[in-house]
Amino acid sequence: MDNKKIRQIVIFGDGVEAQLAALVIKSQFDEESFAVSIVSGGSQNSSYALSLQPESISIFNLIGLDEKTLMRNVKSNFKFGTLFENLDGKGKSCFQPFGTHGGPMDLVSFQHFAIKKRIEQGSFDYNDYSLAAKAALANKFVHPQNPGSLLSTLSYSLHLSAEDLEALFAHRCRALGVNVIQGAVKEVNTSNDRITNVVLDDLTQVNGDFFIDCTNQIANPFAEAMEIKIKSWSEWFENDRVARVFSSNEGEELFTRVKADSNKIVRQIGLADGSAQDVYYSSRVTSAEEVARELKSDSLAKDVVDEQFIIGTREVAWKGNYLALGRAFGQYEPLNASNFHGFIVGLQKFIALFPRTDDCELESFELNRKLNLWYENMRDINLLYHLSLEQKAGNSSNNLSAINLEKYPQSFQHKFKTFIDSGQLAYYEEEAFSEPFRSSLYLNLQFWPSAYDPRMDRFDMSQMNTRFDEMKSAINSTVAQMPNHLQYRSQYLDS
Amino acid sequence: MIKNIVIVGGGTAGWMTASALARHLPEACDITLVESEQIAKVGVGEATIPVIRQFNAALGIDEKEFMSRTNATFKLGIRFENWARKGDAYNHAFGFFGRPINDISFHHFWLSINQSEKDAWIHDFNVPSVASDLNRYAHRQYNDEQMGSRYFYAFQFDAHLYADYLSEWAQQKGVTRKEGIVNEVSTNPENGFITGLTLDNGEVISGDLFIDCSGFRGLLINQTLGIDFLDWSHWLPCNRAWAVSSAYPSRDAEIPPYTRAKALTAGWQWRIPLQNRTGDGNVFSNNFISEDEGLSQLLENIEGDAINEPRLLKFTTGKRDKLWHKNCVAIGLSGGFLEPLESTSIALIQGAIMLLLKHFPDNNFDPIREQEFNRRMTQKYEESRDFLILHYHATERDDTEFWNYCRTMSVPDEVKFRIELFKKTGFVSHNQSDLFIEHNWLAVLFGQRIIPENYDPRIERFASQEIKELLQVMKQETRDAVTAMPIHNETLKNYCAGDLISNFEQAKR
Ligand SMILES: Cc1cc2nc3c(=O)[nH]c(=O)nc-3n(C[C@H](O)[C@H](O)[C@H](O)COP(=O)(O)OP(=O)(O)OC[C@H]3O[C@@H](n4cnc5c(N)ncnc54)[C@H](O)[C@@H]3O)c2cc1C
Repeated sequence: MDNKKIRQIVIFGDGVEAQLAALVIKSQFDEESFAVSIVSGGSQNSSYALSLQPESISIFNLIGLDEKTLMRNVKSNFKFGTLFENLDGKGKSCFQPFGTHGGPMDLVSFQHFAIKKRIEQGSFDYNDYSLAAKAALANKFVHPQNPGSLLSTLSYSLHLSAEDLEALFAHRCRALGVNVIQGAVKEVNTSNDRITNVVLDDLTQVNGDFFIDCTNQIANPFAEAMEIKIKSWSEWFENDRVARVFSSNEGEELFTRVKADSNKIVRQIGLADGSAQDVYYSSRVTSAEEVARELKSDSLAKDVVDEQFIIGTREVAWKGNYLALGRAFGQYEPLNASNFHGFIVGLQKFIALFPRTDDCELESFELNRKLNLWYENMRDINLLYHLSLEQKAGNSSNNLSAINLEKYPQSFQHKFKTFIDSGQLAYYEEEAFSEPFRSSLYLNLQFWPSAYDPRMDRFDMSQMNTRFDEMKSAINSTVAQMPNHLQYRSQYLDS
Repeated sequence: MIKNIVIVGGGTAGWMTASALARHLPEACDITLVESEQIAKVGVGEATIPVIRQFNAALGIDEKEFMSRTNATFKLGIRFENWARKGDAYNHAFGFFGRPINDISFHHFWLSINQSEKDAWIHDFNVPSVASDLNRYAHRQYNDEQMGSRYFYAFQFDAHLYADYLSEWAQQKGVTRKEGIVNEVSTNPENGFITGLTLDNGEVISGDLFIDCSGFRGLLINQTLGIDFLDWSHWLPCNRAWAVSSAYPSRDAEIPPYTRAKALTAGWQWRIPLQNRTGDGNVFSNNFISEDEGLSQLLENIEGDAINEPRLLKFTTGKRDKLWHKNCVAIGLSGGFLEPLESTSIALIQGAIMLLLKHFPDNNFDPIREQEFNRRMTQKYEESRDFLILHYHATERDDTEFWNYCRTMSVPDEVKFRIELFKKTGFVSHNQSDLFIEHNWLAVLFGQRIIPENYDPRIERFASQEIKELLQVMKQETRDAVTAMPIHNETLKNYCAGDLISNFEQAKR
C-alpha cells in the first residue's frame, strides 16, 4: 500500500484547543511542510475561563508566547492551588496547593514525618508546611526563586479568560497562515479506517491527510465514523451536565474554588474582571432550569450555557489519520484543571510522535497506551475527591481500612489501599501528578494512613522537630513579607 | 512491629540485605543471617551499574575505603564486541549522546545528516564512550552543564570482598551471623507462614520475617513455599558459565574503565577488570556447544594467565512467579536470574531491598504490601529481560546455530514493538521507571546496527548546515573533555588503590 504523505492537517474545534494545536504544529514544524486549517462550528462549549496546571504553562513558551504578553492579554491571575470547600468530609474547606510540602529527608518523603507526628499528637496540619498554601490564603504572591530557598518550593499556574485567549490565538493563527473555515460537521467519510474527507453543513467538502479533533465532544460524528468506542465512567461519576456562567463580581483569588454540594460540583475561576462558574450536576437529580435559576440569582451573571457531557474516555485517541485530543478523547469533572491538562499532554505526546505519512500504526499504538494510562491515573485522582465526598455523606467512621472500595477501578483500589496502609504511593507509569502532590492530596483530604515508613524511626526526631518548626515559622514570616497578589501582578505586568 | 528478621544466605544478596536492614530499620529489630561455609556462594557478580552508588551512599559507606577494600575499579559501561556482526564493537556507556536541542533528542539531529556526509559515529558524541575507548577516567559527579562531567559511573569489584566488607559492616551494626546449614524449615500449618529454621547443629532459629538469599536453590521461596519459576530460557538461552580469574599481562597494563562482553559462537565472554586481576567467564548455552567446548573457548580468549581453577555455573534464566509470599521474601538468585550481560543482578537485589524497606510488613502482613512489591519487581525483571533480549535478537549473525536461533526467535511483543517503532521513527519507547532509559536503549539499538529510517520531523526547521556545525562543536567538546581526563590507572592510584597492579613489585602471575 502506498502511504500518503501528510501535507494537509485539518483541525476541528471552536475553542482555544483547536487554535493551540494549530499554533504548536505551525511553530514546531517546517512551515513549508504542510498546510494547517481549522474548521470551526462556532458554538460555545467551553468554560469562560481556563484554569491551568503548572505543567501546562510551558506549552505557551513552545509557541513563543511569553508569560507577560500572555497575562496582559487574557485578564490573567496567578494561581497557587485549589480550594475545595466541603470536600474534607467535615464541612471544612481543604486547600490543595502546588509545590512541595516540607523538605527532603534521607530516602523517606516528607509525608512520613507528618504521619508520624499525627499518630503521636492526634492532629497535624499538612499545609502548615506549604508556602504556596499559606501564601494563597493570605492572597500573597511572588514567583518561585533561588534554588534551595523557601521560595523555590513554590509552584504556580494561571487563570485566564478563554475568550481573550481565543482572540489572541486567532490573531496568531492568522499571522501564521492558518486557514479558518466556518461550518459544522455534517458527515465524515472514511475508507480503510482512514478519513477521506469531511462534509460540512453547507455541503463544503473538507479534504486533508490528517484530521485532529478538538471539538471537545467525546461522542461525535468522527467517533461514529471511525468506530471508536467510548468507555463511560458514569458508574463512578454521576454528573452528566454542565452549566456555565460568567459574572463580573470578585475574582482576585489566587486559587480555583471547587465547592461540592449534595448533588453538584461548582467550580469558580477568578479573572481580573470577574469570575467564571461551571456547575456540574446530574440531570437525574437537578433540572437545567433549577441550576440556571440559581446562577441567575446572581444579578451580574451573563447568559447561562448548559450542555450534556460524558465522563470517560474513548478506547483510543489516535486511529489511522484521525486523532482526538482533550475532551474529544476524554473528559473529567473540573476538579484539577484536568481537561486542559489532558489536552496538553495528548498534544505533547503527538508532537513527539508526529507521523510523516498516514501509515501510523506504531506511533498511534504508543500514544494510545500512554495516554490511556495518563487518563486513568487522573481519573483515580478525581475518584479520591469523590471518595472523600462519599465519606462525608455516609458520615462514616474514621476507620479508613473499613471503606468498601469494591465498586472502584482496580488501580484506584490498589493505590488507595497502599497509601492508607502505610503512607506509600503505589507506582504507576504516566502519573498525572508528582508523588509529593499526590501524597499531599490524600493528607489534605484527611485520608491519614495508620502507619509510616519504618525508616522514619531511625531519624532523630528532636532534630526533625526543630528543623520543621523552623520551617513553619519561616513560612509564616515569608508570607508576611510577600507582596499582595494584585499589587505584584500589576507591577510585574507593567515592568 | 516485626521484630525478628532471619536472612538465609550470605552471598552478595544476603549481606546487602542485612546491611540495608540494619542501617534503615528501627534499632529494636533483630537481624540474624545464616550462612554456611560448606555451601559455596556464586560470587562472580563483579560488574555493576550506576544505581549501586545510591545503595552505598544510603548505607553511609565511604567510597574510597570500599573501593580499596574490594579492589574496585570504575566502570563507564560495557564494550560489546562481535554482537551485530563479527568484527563490530560498540560501547553501552553510562551517559548521553550529545545534547538535546529544543527538547529534541540529539540522535535525531545526527540521523538527519546524510549518511555520506557523516564524519562521526554517534558514539563519538558520548563522553563515557569515548573515554572508554581511550581508557580514561576522571572521578567526577554528574554535572549537566559541563560536557566533561556528563556521565555516570559504576564499579567493578571482587564480589567475595564486597560480601566480606558488607558482612563486617553489618555485624558492626548489630546483625548476628550464624554459621550452619539449614536442614529443616518449619511452617505454621494453619496459615503456611514460616515459623523457624533448624540448623545442622540442632539450633532452632525462629523469626517473623524470612528473607531467602539462598541462591539458585530458593530454599524457602521454592523448596518450602513451592513458588514456581517462570522459565525465560526460550528468550535468554544461555544456561552455563565457566568463570575464572586471570592475571594482567604486565604491571603497567592499562586497566579499562569498562567491562568487555565479547560474543562467541554460542554466547559471550566477559572480562571484568579489577585493580589486581580480571574476572573472566564464558556464558553459553549447552544446547549449542558442550561444556568442554565452553571451557576451551574461555581459556583461548583470556588475555593473561588463569590464576585459579575455572568453575562451572549452571543456571536457568527466569524469575519466580512472585518474590514475596506470606512472610518470605526472595532476594537475589533465589528470586530469579536473567543473565550477566548487562550486570543487572546486583541492581535487582538493590531494587528488591529498597522496595522491601518501603513496603516493610508489620505483624498483620497486609497483602497490599506484598502485592505492590511483587507488581514492581515483576516490572523490573521484565524491563531488564526485554533489554537483554534486544542484544541477542537484533543481530545479523548467521555464522552459528546459536545466533540463528537468537536472530529468528519470537520475542515478547514489547521488544518487537520497541524495535519496530525505533526503526521507523527513531523514537525510543520506554517507561519512566525503567532501569534502562533512552540513552541506554540508543547505545544498544545503534550498536546492534538498527538505524532508523526516519528522524523527528521537527528537525526539518533547522538548516542542515546549522546542524552540521552544531554537531562539529559537540564532537570537539566531547573529544576535548576526554583528552583532559587522566588515564583510569592514574585515577585508581590516586583515589582508591587497593592491591593495584602497578603498586606491586611484580605483576602477580
Ligand atoms: C555466571 C554469572 C555471572 C554473574 N555476573 C554478574 C555481574 O557481573 N553483575 C551482577 O550484578 N551480577 C552477576 N551475577 C549475579 C550475581 O552473582 C548474584 O546476583 C549475586 O552473587 C548474588 O547471589 P546470591 O547472594 O543470591 O546467591 P549465592 O551467592 O549463591 O549465595 C547463597 C548463599 O546461601 C547460603 N546457603 C544456601 N543454602 C544454604 C543452606 N541450606 N543453609 C545455609 N546457608 C545456605 C550459601 O552459603 C551462600 O552464602 C552473575 C551470576 C552468574 C551465575
